[in-house]
Formats: sequence, C-alpha cells, structure tokens
Amino acid sequence: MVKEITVSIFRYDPESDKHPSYQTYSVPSKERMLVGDVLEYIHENLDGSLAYRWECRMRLCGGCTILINGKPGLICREQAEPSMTLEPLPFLPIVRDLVVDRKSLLDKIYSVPPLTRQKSPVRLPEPIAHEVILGLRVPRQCVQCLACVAVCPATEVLTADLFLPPKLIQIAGFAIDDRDTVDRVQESEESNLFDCACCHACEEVCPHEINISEKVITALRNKTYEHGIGRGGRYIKAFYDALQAKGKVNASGILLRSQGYLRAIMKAPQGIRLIARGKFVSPFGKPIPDIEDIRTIIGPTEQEK
Amino acid sequence: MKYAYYPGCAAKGSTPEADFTTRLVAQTLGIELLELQNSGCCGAKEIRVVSRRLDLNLNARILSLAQGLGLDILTICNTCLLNLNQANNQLKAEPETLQKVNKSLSKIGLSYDGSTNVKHLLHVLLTDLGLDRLKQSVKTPLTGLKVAPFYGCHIVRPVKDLGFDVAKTESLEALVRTLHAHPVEYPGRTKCCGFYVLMPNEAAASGMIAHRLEEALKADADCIVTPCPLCHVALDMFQKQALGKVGIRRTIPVLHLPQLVGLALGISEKNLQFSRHLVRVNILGK
Repeated sequence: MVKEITVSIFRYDPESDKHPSYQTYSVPSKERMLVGDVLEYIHENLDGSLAYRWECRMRLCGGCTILINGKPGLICREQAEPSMTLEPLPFLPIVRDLVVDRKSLLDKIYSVPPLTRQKSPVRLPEPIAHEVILGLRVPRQCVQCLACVAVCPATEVLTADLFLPPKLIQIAGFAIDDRDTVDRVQESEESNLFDCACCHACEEVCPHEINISEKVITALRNKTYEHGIGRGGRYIKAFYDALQAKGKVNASGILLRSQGYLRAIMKAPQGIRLIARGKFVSPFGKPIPDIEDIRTIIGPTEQEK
Repeated sequence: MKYAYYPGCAAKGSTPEADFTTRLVAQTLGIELLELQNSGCCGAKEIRVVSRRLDLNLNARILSLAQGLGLDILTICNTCLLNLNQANNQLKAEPETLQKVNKSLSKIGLSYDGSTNVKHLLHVLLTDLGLDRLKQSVKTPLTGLKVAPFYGCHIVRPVKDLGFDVAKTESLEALVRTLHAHPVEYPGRTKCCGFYVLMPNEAAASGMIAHRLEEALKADADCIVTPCPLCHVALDMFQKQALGKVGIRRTIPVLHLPQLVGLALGISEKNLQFSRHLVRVNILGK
C-alpha cells in the first residue's frame, strides 16, 4: 500500500495573486481515503489557508465538485489516488483556490423553476401513478454538481447560455410528470435539446449515474418528435422517413427531407467535392433489396412498448 | 477467424474507402469476412427517439442475420457497435422484450436467441488476432510517424454497455506502437468529434471539429487515426471549413484504422484510397 499521497493543488487568490500556481503536499495515506479527506488533512495539519468546499459530505449538495487529475468529480465520492492534481472547475470565476462561484450557472439552470406547475387549486390526496414516480426518480437525482457541464462538448462550443445539460435534466424531470402543465417540449427546444452530441461524456462523470442520454435527451427528443415541432422534430422525422424509404440512411437524403431543396442546393459546392472523390451518395438511390423487411419491422404498428 | 461483416451505412456511403480497406486488411491478415447483405441501418441515435422498440427491432434483425450464419459480428463503425451491443444486452436481460421483438421478427421469417457477439475491428485486431501476430505481418514499419489516436465516443462510452474499456487500456495507442509508429499524447483522444450535431446545428459541430483538430495539431501529430467512419466524416470532410472558421490554415490528414494498418502491411497508397479524402494525405515518407 502507498504510504503517502502526493497532491498538487491549484492555488489562486484573485485579490492578491497575479497568477495561479500549484503547491505540492504529501499526505499520509489511509485506507479508503476520499479526496475530501486529503484536503481536510492538508487544511488541518499543513496549510490552513487552503480553500475548498466540502459541505454535506454525502453527495447531495453537489457543491464540492473539482477536477481530479483533469476529470470532474465530487471530493466526497472519489477515492484518493497516490498522485493527484486538484484544480477548480473550469469556466467559472474563481473565488479562491478550489472554490468557484457557481451562481451564474445555477441561475441559468433555475431559469427553469424547480417546481411542478400544477393546475390550481391542487386537490389532495394527489394520486400519482407508480410508473410516473419511477420515471421521475431518475432526473430528480441530479444535484447540480456541474460535473457534466465540465465535460460537455456542446457547452464548450455553444457556452452555458445556449446549452446546459443540468437544465435539460431538470426539464425532463417535469416533462414526464403527469401533473405538470408547462409546455416542456417548447422549453426543451428553446434549450437547444438537439445540440446534444450524444457522446455520453456526461454520464461517465455523473456521480449519481443518471442515464442522461436515454432518460433525458432521448426522452425529451421523443416528446418533441411526437409533437412534430422544431428543427429537431423535423430532423428525426426525415431520418425515419429516409430509413423507411431506403432501409439505409445517407446525409443527402436526410438533408433534402429535413431542410428542403433550397438548403440542399446551398450545399452544392460541398456535394461537388464529394462527387469528385466518389463519396457522394444520391438521395434518389435505390433502396436495399430487403426493404420490405425493414418497413415491416419499423412500421407504426411495431411501435408499442 | 471468420466474422459476419457489418460495415454500417457510412462505410457503404460517405466513406467507401473504410469498407474497401477493411476488406483488404482482413484478407492480408487471414481474417474472413462474410458481409451481412441487405442488413440495413442500425438506427443510429435517431430511431430510438421515434421508439426504443423500433431501434431494438432493427438491431435484433441484424443480430439474427449473423446468428443464421453462426458467426459473431465484426463492425467498423462505433455507433453500430454501441447500438448492437446495447440492444443485445437489453434483449438478453429482458426475456419479455426479446419475446416482443421476436414477434416482430417472425413477420419477416427471423428470430433471435441472444447468441450473437458484436466486436469492432479494433477488438478483433487486439484480442482475436493479437498484436503479436499483427506485428509479424508488418512489412513497412511506420517508424517516425506521429499519430494522434482518436477513439470517437461510442467505442469508449458507456463502458457498461460495451464491456471493454478501450481507452483506459490504451488499445489504439498499443496498436499504433505495434505498427512502429509513435502515438502522441493529447487531450482530445476520447472527446467528441461533433458528428451528431452536424445535421441539426452545423455551426456548433464545426466548433467541436475545430477543437479536436487543434488539439491534434498542437501535439504536433502527422495524422489522426480513428476507428469510426462517422468521426472521419466530421474530421476529414468538414475539416477545411472548421479550421477556416477559426483562422487555421494548416490541415491534418485523418486516416481510418484499416488504412493505417494497411500502410504498415505494405498495401499501396492507391489501394488505401487516400485520394478519396478531402484533406490530402501527405504522411508518406515521414
């Protein structure tokens, strides 16, 4: 067993330091030591000036997320490693050392009020179906720890103003609640639901292992598709139609179906480059020989759960 | 070694060189591929939005076709790999769902019993063939070539669905070393190429593509290698626009996994079909 843990910690006080620096500490190792235990040891025995958050200590407040060897994690959950670099979450103002100001992101998440909007007055008792409760449990496990935000490629490119996974998780929590009366489809479209890159990076770091791609993104996209609205709904319909028509999909076919001839013509220069390299697939090509088999198994009658 | 070969829509459409070079490499290494003719699409990330059941039906059909041949599936597409594995896991774990799906399959004269395994070409090279045997087949060592391994998402995550952590075990890096090339270390190796955002929001996808390319360029790589044709579409086909938007004039060639392996096996540049790429492949002689 390793007897000492070597930990390099990001240090920065915006009020007094010109630049951030890294300070290295050696901490005696104990069995099943959490990253939070390491920080507590340093704070109590080696350096009382170190700032970090460690509030509920039971994975519920979501406030203690930092980067542990470059990966976001809760210090109350992640096991300490023999060698660690600890840094604050990126993209947020630094208060001091590992403490960031989370308010700007939390405000954006709570722009969707964390309340089920019900018809008033609410009649009690309020019967809720068992399967609805089971469904609700998944997104409501989110503690807004922001780990997913730190790894989301869509947030990285679009900024948190336009794409924020915890906001979509929150919307999903209400979208499947029978009692809710808000138009969550519209809300998720406005939150750029279809800009999710389906990369599963968020799930990999979620401390509550929320199946975000299925229970949030796919679930909300399904509602959007069923309402047939917005660019996302049109895109899914185009994909489904293309598959029913040909048994396989290609970009030109989906582009034509979802965005029309005008947009497709605007893409002509790209199309010409692809034709020159034998990579262009015509949207008017033949279906696969067994197309009837595909149509049979993905027809509307097969959709029952 | 014999497999039911499922190349997926991209390799049969936008990236035919991935399909062509997979066949050449397999032939050279003594891997027999029996293509699943008429297998159709796996539903990608879109059909499950219409209905999870339709996605299961599509994938169960493909799994059932391979079962009919008594072979495991070899695919060269990350998304096909993940979809087939997710469907397979669910059908094995939920007998009631399998029964419902089989009711659909019975209408086209098929049924599935859960016995097909699904592997990616990368898994086959690593474990079924083995890197030692691959090393013995190297005729043109790629000495000095700096390669940025780009895994793509759906061969890496979610590990619970894939059953094998290729990124943690540095599989692609090990394969690159086997070919005597040098894998560069860079932060983008398991990040997203943006492919699935190309259609709904091309500007956002372009930003993701530019980030990944910049990361590889900063690491001074001569080329990127990817096991996924969808990542290739994003990183090669959209490279010039994406880099142009952020003011970068340099380009970096993106190779399909079988192309890099084929290069080391001594397959000619012409047969590796580099001429089909939109970004010039200028790594030969490095």
